Amino acid sequence: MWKWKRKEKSSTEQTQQKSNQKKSLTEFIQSLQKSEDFIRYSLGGEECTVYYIKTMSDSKILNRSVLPILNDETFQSLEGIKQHIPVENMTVTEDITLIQEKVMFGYIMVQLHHSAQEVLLIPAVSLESRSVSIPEVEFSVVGPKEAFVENINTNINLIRKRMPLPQLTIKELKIGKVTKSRVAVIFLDGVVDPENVETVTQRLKDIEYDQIIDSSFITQIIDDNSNSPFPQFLDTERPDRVVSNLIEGKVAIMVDGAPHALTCPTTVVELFGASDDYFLPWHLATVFRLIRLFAVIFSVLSTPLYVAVLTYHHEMIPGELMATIVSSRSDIPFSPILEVIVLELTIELLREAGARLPTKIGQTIGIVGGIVIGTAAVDAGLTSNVLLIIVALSALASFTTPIYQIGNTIRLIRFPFIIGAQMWGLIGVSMCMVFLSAI
Amino acid sequence: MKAKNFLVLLISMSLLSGCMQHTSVEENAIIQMAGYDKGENKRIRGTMLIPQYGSSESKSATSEVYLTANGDGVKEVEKEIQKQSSKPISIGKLSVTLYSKELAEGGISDIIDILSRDPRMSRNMYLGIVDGEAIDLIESQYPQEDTTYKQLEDLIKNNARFNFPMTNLHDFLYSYYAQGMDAFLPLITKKEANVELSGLAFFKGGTVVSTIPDSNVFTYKMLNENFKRGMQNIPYKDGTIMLDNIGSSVEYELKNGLGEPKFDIRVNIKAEVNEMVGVDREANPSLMKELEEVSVEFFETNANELIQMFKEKEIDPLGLGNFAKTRKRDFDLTKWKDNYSDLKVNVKVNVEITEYGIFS
Repeated sequence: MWKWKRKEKSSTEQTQQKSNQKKSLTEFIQSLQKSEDFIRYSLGGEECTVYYIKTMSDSKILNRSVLPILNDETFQSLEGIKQHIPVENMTVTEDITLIQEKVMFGYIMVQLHHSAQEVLLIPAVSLESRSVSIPEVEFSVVGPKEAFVENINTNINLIRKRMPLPQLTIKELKIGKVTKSRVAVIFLDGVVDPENVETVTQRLKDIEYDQIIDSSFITQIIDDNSNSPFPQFLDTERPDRVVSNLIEGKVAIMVDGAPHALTCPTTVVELFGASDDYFLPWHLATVFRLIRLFAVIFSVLSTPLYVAVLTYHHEMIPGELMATIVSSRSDIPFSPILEVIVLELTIELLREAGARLPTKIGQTIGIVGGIVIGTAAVDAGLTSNVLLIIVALSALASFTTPIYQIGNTIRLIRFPFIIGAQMWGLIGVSMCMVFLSAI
Repeated sequence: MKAKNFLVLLISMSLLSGCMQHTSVEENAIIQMAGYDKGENKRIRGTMLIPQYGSSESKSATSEVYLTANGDGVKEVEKEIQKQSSKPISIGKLSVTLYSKELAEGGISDIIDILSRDPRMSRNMYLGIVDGEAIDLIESQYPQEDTTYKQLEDLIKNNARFNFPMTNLHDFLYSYYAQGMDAFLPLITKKEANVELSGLAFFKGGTVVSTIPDSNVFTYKMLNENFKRGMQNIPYKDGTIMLDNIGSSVEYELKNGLGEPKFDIRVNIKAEVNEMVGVDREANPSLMKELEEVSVEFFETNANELIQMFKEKEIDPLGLGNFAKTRKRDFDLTKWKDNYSDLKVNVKVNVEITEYGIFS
């Protein structure tokens, strides 16, 4: 199942990159000075210099804790300063890679003039982020109403507070040549299969890509089969869902800047399970989940079956339905396949337009598009009433999936089915089904 | 290599599928009902009913088109009818097929053979024998709301839940081909403004040799299968009583082996008395006892008459031979047939009247 697709890059290449990065401290400062928000000033007669990026650093820490102490006394060594400043986790270092990383992240750098290579780094990071809000993609009526935000610390906090256990392990990696995104691999030690953790971390380490903006970048890079239309990671914005997956022994991946967590390994059925299912009594939840599965099958198969049956297998239409279907079709100048494709594309168009527009206008477009275009098409004799209902229902059914990604999959796989149905009738539909289960 | 093979397969399949003829439903002439009569010079005359569905605005205006052609066989009739139709005819939706009694008495084994061969035919199709001409029955417009084919289909389907035994193509072909069993079909008669099921027609091979009126159909069904509904009127003294069946079961038993076979047919009927006409007595348990005895006698006489008739005509619609064949390993069909007329069949009916309501 877990194939090692991406091989580790040769180590010589990596060391080469490292040596390129190893510029001197002066060069680093010079390159930063081109930006207006990089502040540099000296205290106590050029004895001591403070560097920081104004837009990234917390000015409160600088003004209250760092500057008063540096102004009042004269220090001979960085270690001396370190002992006096009441800020936690300061480091004295010469490592230019570390310095670069920390300063760019909002640390304040203090340099004593005479020891030019060694600097003191004071953490004063100020990050802008929105507060925790209710889940919008995976909304549930009952149950917790917290969703992940972009800040990874907040997100991990949301997970940890639900599971105060020492076994909850968080491994952090930095991925992306340019973005240097923080990626956390979270698992419950002792429950998880160590091989899965190994695989995930290995694949994450092997990623060589400039930008990791969102967790979806990671799914596409490290999944088992990139040609499959099915998502291979469960993508969720609900902390409670991540926690329950962790307890089941799965591995979660979180990316700084992404309000969605990934959990793996995952199964297809899991993608159709809403968190509501776990908050309701078992019989209700079972029925609702079955309805959802039925809706998915209906959504994928209804229009292809319409095409196949009307084109090749009239015998399958029940006698009672015959009159309805034939009379609604009799004015239509197109063959069933054309009719279906036109209508399906219209629905996709509406959906795409609705997704790109602001919420208020989007709703209007949905209603206007649905009602006006639908009725007009039937009135004009371009599509049949029966098909309009089938297409509308199948579009509706495809929205029942609780995970957004699988909804997209269902939207897509309908089209090969329709073409198969037109070319080979029911055999085509079943062939598509076989292919689908193969990928 | 694998991918290449797959691609070649996919492309060739896509291209070849272009050769496939396909038409949408509304471009087909969908035959819903067919009837066959005896034509001139030993030919058969087929009549096909094709419903014409109105456009979406006038859904109710479903009319019917009847096409008639002569041919030596069913397929030739089909070919001739195709010549009269602007759309390709499709027989997959055929729901009722009728044969005139005249034609069936001359033998329809060739037609039955076609029925069992054509995979497009639904096994749920209903067959019937028309007392008269099938063409007359098909081409008359009936004042009921439904179309003709729908009316006939429902007529046979619904009555199979009451007095008439279940007959569709599957059952028919089963009893036609089974050893030691003969087929039967409902007999349909056209009335002035309606059609009605008027009895059963019994086959010997592919030929109709005998019929029974609808008054005997209940007795036959009672011997043939278990059923839960249906009504039978039984003469009692000067009047009649109406038995409403609520559950009848039948059991066959073969005794004495194949040397001198003897059949016991035990029938248990539970029924309610619905109506007593011309019976001038108070309904009480003792009258019911009496009525039960009268009914038993009525059913037993009727059943024995039926079986006597089957023996005379050398037909076996109850499938007694088939029953014996499935139970005895040294069953010999020719020997069975030779001895069939001497077969001892003992019918034992037990009627239980569960309710008789309040009569004064």
